[in-house]
Formats: sequence, structure tokens, C-alpha cells
Amino acid sequence: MPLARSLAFIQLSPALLIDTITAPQTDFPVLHHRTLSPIAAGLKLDYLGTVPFRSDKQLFFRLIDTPEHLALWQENTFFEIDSSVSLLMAESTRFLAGDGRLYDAYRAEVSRILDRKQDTKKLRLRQQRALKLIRNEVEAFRPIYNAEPNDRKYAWLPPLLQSRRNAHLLLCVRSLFRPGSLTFVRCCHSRIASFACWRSTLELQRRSRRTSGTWWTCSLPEAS
Amino acid sequence: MRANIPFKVRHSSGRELLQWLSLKFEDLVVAALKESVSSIAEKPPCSYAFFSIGPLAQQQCTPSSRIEFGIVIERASMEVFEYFRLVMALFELRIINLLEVCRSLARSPSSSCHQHF
Repeated sequence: MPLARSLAFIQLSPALLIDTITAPQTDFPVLHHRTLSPIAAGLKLDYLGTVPFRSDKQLFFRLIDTPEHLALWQENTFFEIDSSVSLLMAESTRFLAGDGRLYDAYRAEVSRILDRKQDTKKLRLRQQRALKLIRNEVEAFRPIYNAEPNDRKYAWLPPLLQSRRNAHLLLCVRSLFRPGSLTFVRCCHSRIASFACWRSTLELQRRSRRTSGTWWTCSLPEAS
Repeated sequence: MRANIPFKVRHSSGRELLQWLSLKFEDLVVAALKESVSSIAEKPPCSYAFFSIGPLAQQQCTPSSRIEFGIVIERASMEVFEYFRLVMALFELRIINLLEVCRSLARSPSSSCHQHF
């Protein structure tokens, strides 16, 4: 009987691991902390989850409210707490169903806040944020050099990262722990032909399952 | 899946394919949301609007993308929150009933919906 129980727990473990990996707030240290991440801050995926009642996060992550309250996400206070949610709620929304006027009211409220000029600077809030984003992107993709001054060689990055396109490929590989979606999107953004890309995604996932937990790379077909 | 994608889309760029997939996905979500609202005997306590965020809104949706959206409501009260909590639970069941949801994805909203709200 104890043996049977042990076997049951052995079967349970992979299921538990999969659940943990696919949990909405799981970070993805695909590089297993053995090497440095190519992006300084690392990647964090799936902030908001499936439904608007994200009460497992802090209270203000609840995405159901009046237009005025939802637009408060654009205020600097909230932007400093979590810029990802603010940015998503600002530019990445699309009306689905219901009363369109309410959604328009929300968009108008968001625009009012983002078009507000700051007291001391002439820039609007949205311009300030765009500049900040670009600065962060430049910083994130900054090559990491050796510690010695004037040494322009990469300290640890393999040749894989020497072009921007390959950096995208690396992101493809990093996101393999998610079910296909991000891999597919990344491939498409890397200008890889769509169906070649889809096949490649499936192939990458198949191989990933076989060699789960190990670090590997793969070449993907170019767009025609 | 390949058989259902129109010839023109199949041979288009990746971005167009994503756009096509997103629109199909959006139709599915909208239908499920409307059915969920109409399943409840009571009328909605106030006017509302569902809006998508993330990949669905950016039209970068794929067959395995998450469904992420928010709700704008006319007035905030416990009655309204409770009503939409029920709508979300029904919506979740409809999505699970498509039988294409992995277990972990289906379980996480349940915990946030029912336990903490």
C-alpha cells in the first residue's frame, strides 16, 4: 500500500509542476539562474490572468469599476506601482460587448489624464511615458561587456545574441514554457513565415517536452 | 485547423494571420459573454461594457492565448460586483466547456472568483 501511495505521488508531481509553471504569476527563470538573463529585469508574463477579479493580487488589480476609477490606473501613483498594467489599460484595450458609451467614457477619461501636461515640463504625460519606455528598451537590450574598461567583447553572451533578430529567437526559446502563444507571436514579429512559424512552434514545443529543463537553441526558417 | 483557414489568410504574413485568429477568438469570447449575461434571470443592475486587454485587444491572439478583459460599469456597489462575479463564473464554465482549456488555466480564475472576492 505505501508503494502504491508513493507511485501516486510520483504521478502527481509532474502535474503539480505543470500547474506551477502555468500559474498566471509565475516568473520564468528559464536560464535556471546559472547564467545571467539577457534582459536585465527578466521577463514577467501574464499579469492580469483570465478574469477581471484578480483578487489574489492586491485589491487595486480588480479590473471592474466605473470609467473614472478605472482610468486612475494612468495616474503616476499606479504607474509607479506597476507600469505594465497601466500601459495595458491605456493603449491595449478594445471594446467587446455591452454599452459602447461607457467604454467611450473610459477612453475619454484615459485620454484626459494622458494628455495632461505636467507642471514643470512641457511634455504631456503620454510623451513622458513613451520616452521612459524607449529608454528602458534601450537599457534592456544593452550589450553586457566585460568588466575591464575599453574591452568591447561580450562577457558571456553567445553569438546567438549578436543581432536583434537573434535576440527575438532567444525570446522564442525563453517562452517555450508557455503554451505556444508567445512563441508564435514572437516568431511572427521576427518576420518568419506564418505557417513555417507555426510548424516550428509545435516542433519546438515537442522538443521542449522531451528535453524539459535543459537549455537548447534551434534555428527557425526565414520568411520567404 | 489548417483546413479552416482561408487560402488568402494562410498565405499572408504572420501579422495578418494573427489578426484573423484574433477576430475569430474575439467573436467566440463575445458570444460567450453575451450568453453568460443572458443566462442570469435578473437583468444587469446597471449598464456595463466588456473590453479586452492584452493580446486580444492588440490583435495578436493565438489559439492558446489567455482571455484577458475588464468591465466598465455605470456605478460601483456590492450588488453590481456580485452580479458580475456570477457572470464571470458562468463565463468561466463556458470557456471550460469548450474542452480546450488546460487544467491550470481553468482553475486559477476559480480561486480568485469564488474565494477572495
